[in-house]
Amino acid sequence: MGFDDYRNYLGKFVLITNITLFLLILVLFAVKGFTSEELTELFKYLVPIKALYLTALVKFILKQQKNPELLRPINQNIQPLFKTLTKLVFYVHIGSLYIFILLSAFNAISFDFLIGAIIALETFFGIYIGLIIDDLFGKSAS
Amino acid sequence: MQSSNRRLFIVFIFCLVIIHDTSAQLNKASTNFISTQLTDYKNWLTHTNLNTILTVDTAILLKEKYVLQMRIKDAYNWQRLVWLSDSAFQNSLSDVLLKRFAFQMDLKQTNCEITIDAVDAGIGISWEKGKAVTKVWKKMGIISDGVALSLTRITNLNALGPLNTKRSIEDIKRRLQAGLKQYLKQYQAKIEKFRFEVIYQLDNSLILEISNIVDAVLDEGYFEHIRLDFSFQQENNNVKLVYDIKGKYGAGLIWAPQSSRYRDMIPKYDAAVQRFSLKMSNKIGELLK
Repeated sequence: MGFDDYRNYLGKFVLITNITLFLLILVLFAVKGFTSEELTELFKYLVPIKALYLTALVKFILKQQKNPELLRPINQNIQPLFKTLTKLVFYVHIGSLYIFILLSAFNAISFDFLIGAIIALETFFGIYIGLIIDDLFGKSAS
Repeated sequence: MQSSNRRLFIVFIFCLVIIHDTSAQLNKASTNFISTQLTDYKNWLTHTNLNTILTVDTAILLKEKYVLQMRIKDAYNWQRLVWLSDSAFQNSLSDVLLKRFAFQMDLKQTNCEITIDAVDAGIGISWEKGKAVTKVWKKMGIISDGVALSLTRITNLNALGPLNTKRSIEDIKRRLQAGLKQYLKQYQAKIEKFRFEVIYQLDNSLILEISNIVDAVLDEGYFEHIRLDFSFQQENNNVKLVYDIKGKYGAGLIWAPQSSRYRDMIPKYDAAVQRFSLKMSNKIGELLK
């Protein structure tokens, strides 16, 4: 897998997992896993940080559309450490969010704990994800 | 190189902002239970219109008791409020305030106290010998202007009754416990075990707590937690019965939520609570025939 393919794969992964995360929350709300007050609170914590990631990604997609040159594959090998690090950060981050949200809907953990977990996850992974997204889809990528 | 450093600097500033913001929010989440319950208590005060005279400061844990700290202008306005509320409540104002606070914090009345600070007095409400006892201490040398604050109207507080019956108090308690347990069991949640508890029982009062029920009060599919509070008064051959109904709801799939996740049904589901109160009123009447 070339660099561009890997970048496209990660872009799609972030987009799809984030959209399905919001869909999952809405489904859980519909089946009474969350009250309307809890749904509002959950979105209050998730939306700002998710919007930051997705904005960089969407900007890159729009630029790609205007400038197809960006799509041209670059003969650049991916360093195994880079691949492992990015996969680890993205998979653990989104996976943990899914698990904590599901656990809270089933009352295995309290809602306050869920909010604390989201804050901790976003604080810890937010820095790394911000750096990776900026590097892959930010100005430098263009 | 310069452009790269600038980019790194922006990312660093962005990270600092996230860390600062999230650590502040983390602190906020740890005190969430008390603040959520206090918000519900304030909403209830607003719902009853008592908030125009009485305001909530905070709640603290003091000597193994939760103390709700409130504020009122002066002792004159407190006396006026007690007098005005006598006609609106079936119980005394102190009793209503203390029981609502205990329900909100998910505790027994014996574990709760209320202190009300006024310019010229301090007012303390605690639960002693089966009833709410109010003590007023005058502050030496301070006189208030005695201007009455306006209070529009104290609205319905879901206090029901009085209901008169010739049965003995012990018989009434037995009938209520058995009859209501059977009646409310039809609303039990699918997997969680139905809970019907007598949490307080003295000669003149009976408090029942029912949890892990669904769709008894609301038709929303949430878990519900109800507290039924009965007071009895012997009058010649009759027993006068007064009661009120308080309810909370909480979300969750299959398993019931922890107490911190329940929210007061008032004021959001006021109409549903009133409808349920009428239903219970009929049922209690039937049980005591």
